[in-house]
Amino acid sequence: MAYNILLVDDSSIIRKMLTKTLGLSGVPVKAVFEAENGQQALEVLDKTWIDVIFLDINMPVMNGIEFMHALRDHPEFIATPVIVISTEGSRVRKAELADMDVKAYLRKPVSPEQIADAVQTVLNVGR
Amino acid sequence: MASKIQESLLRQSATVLEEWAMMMIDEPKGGLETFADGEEFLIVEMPFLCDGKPAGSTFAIAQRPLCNIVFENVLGSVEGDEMTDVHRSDAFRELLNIVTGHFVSDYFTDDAVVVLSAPTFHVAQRDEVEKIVNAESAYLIADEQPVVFTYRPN
Repeated sequence: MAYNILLVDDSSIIRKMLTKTLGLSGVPVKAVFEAENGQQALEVLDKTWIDVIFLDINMPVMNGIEFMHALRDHPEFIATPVIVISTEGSRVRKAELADMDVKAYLRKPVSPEQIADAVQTVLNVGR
Repeated sequence: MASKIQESLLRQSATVLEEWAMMMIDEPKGGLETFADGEEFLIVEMPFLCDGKPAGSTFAIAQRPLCNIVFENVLGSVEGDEMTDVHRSDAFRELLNIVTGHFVSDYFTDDAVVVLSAPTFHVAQRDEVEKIVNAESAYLIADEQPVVFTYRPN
């Protein structure tokens, strides 16, 4: 099975890097969708089935925390798997995200192996 | 003797340059004099809050050849046209973003709640750079190109 992936990050360089890293990770990808902030991500989710979301925290318009609240308030997306990729390591922030059912939190920079492991974790599938 | 700030900036920036930007790191023999004369400087600034209060800014300062290498090592060559300051800005802002995330974890610890602002990029002359760097700045040579990271508390 191949997955629809949504990359949510205001940095175009990070979205390009993640696309490249996903390609090296061995994760079967059907299509990669991109959003510059949480608001754009919600618009993508309204139109497209997404299997996994890679989410940044610090973004303009709607940041990652605000997006997670909006996502989990929506019955259709209450269980959509989310992998947070951030430069921050705050324990409080990680706990807050874990409470919103974020099962994987990766610190930038990330390797293809970390991406593959995180996808395996959030989808509960073997590689 | 290096201060705690300088030691942390040196350690974190060297790790990110080596592991993320895939560059070879050397210790410079001097400060700003290691930068090329007559060439403009590229500056990225990243303000941040710590536990809800403004905690100052981090800065990354380099010249175009370093930013070209960072971009090419991370993303490959530019498709079509020549590399511009837009490409350099993307790569250099992300470099400081990652360095700052690791620096604040190291210096303030992960018990602090740090909120990083979007990094800003601009081109500057040497006199502006001289006002930003301080005794705790971290100078490095990456792939034979100088770069300096600074933290300026509020």
